[in-house]
Amino acid sequence: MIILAVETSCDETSASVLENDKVLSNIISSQISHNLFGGVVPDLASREHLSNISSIVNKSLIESSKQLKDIYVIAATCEPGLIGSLLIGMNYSKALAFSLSVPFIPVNHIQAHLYSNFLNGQQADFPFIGLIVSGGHTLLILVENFFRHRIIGYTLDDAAGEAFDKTAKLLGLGYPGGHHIDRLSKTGNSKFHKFPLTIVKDNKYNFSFSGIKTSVLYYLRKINFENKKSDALVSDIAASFQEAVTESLFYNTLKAAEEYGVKIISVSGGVSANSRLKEKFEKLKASGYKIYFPKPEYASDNAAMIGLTGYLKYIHSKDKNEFSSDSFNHLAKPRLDYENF
Amino acid sequence: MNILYLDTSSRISEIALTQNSKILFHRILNDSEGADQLVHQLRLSFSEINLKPDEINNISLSSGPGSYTGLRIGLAIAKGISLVCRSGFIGVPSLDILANVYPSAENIISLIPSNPKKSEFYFAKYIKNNSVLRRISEYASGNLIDILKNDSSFIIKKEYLHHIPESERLKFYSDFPENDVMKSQIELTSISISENNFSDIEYFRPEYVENYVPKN
Repeated sequence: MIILAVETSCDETSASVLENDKVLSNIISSQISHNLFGGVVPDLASREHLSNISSIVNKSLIESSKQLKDIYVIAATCEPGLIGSLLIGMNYSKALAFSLSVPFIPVNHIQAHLYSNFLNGQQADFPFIGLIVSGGHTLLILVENFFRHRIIGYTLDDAAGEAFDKTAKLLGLGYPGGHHIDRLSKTGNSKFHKFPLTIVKDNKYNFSFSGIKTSVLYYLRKINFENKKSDALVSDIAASFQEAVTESLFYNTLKAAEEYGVKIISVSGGVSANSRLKEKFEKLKASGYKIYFPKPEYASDNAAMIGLTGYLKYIHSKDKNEFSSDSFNHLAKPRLDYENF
Repeated sequence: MNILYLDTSSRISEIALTQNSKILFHRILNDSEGADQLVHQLRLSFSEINLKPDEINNISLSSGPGSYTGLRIGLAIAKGISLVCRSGFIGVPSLDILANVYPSAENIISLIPSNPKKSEFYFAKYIKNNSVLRRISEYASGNLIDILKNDSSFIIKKEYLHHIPESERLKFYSDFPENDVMKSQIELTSISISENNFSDIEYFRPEYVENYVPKN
């Protein structure tokens, strides 16, 4: 089955062609114009998606050596994300599916991150604890099987990736911040300063990162950072901040795995590319844990994971006709529906 | 020749299809059927007339100004269809479409709200001679009082009439049925096609607000 997938939930325009779960092409165009503003500007994102989408789809077809007539189904991200951006990719994809008279499969972006570790024939073992860490979300999910999952923890304020971006800005680093902090942390001392971990009382699996970010802000004021700024100091603070965030992510995930008696952990989303986070989880292998991390090209937002999730949704569906009728009526939703995930 | 018409520039979207100048369907979507359900409505409409979507030769889009989200949805849909059907594309300015509804030879101002709470509107002035519409001003935006100060008649979609103060409504040309807006788009599209006035959809942009800010 040849799947064409489109992803436009935030500031990456991406299209991918898959043959079942095998990626034939995965074109990602990151919108660099947001760098000037230190964050994603929703209106700008929508405009750029609209400008780029056809050329990205064409490139993905060319790279896959497939033609539109070969496409069996079309999948697109419909939730959650920036509403203006979602509407571009979803409606463009619906129009493609309509014109080709093929099924349209609406895909949940978070579910796609969850399954991104199972591209290209990687066997999925169940149950597992999924940690999704990105610029928009930080979620802990108990996954019993494909499309049988439950959110058991989430961030109460900033997403982990958002905290990286905001802290990078405080340190005078570029956007997106995660890459810069990870790079500088390699030469910094992670024990230089101990930033506090937030313990959430109501739900032990929930996260909170705004406190860590704020404590960085107060610390910078206290040491008169602007006057004392040096490469070494920036690297030490970056490393200390990274240690606090990754420890919080690791601690809650391991706690959930232990308490649910699960020995498989899957980490995905843009922050899964963080080297310190990966290092912490990799050590668990010695204790008998199976750890999944995505390849770098499937860590941040990409259409290949949307295509895989569309494919899985299609083959696991009891009523495939819904993808040739009701799915064209599917609405884009900016927020994640925690209850009906 | 099959021509698909999309108008997603305002809260109420419209779709139509003509085959050799005959209207095969025209559907005005209601409030609950937002522009993001437009492809679903297209599927139903094509199914009713038993026409394959890949038989669309040209696409006409009301290109704004208007609802940014709506305009982008319309263009995204047009791009998706165009990629498959290799159809020609015609963008028709929404102010022109509205002005072309007006039947007489008098001057007319076409209005589309930009920031109605501040009484700001997009506008252009037109004259119609022997059924030929001619724009006699730049496309611009401004305050309603300034736009209407010379007692010109104006035309605006009925869904936006509540943005116009009672005192100004006497100048409103209201005597047109809802269907006339789409008929006007069909007429202007036909003129564009006869003049071979197609746009490259890849480089086409909806009419955004910056196009209406005076350049000093």
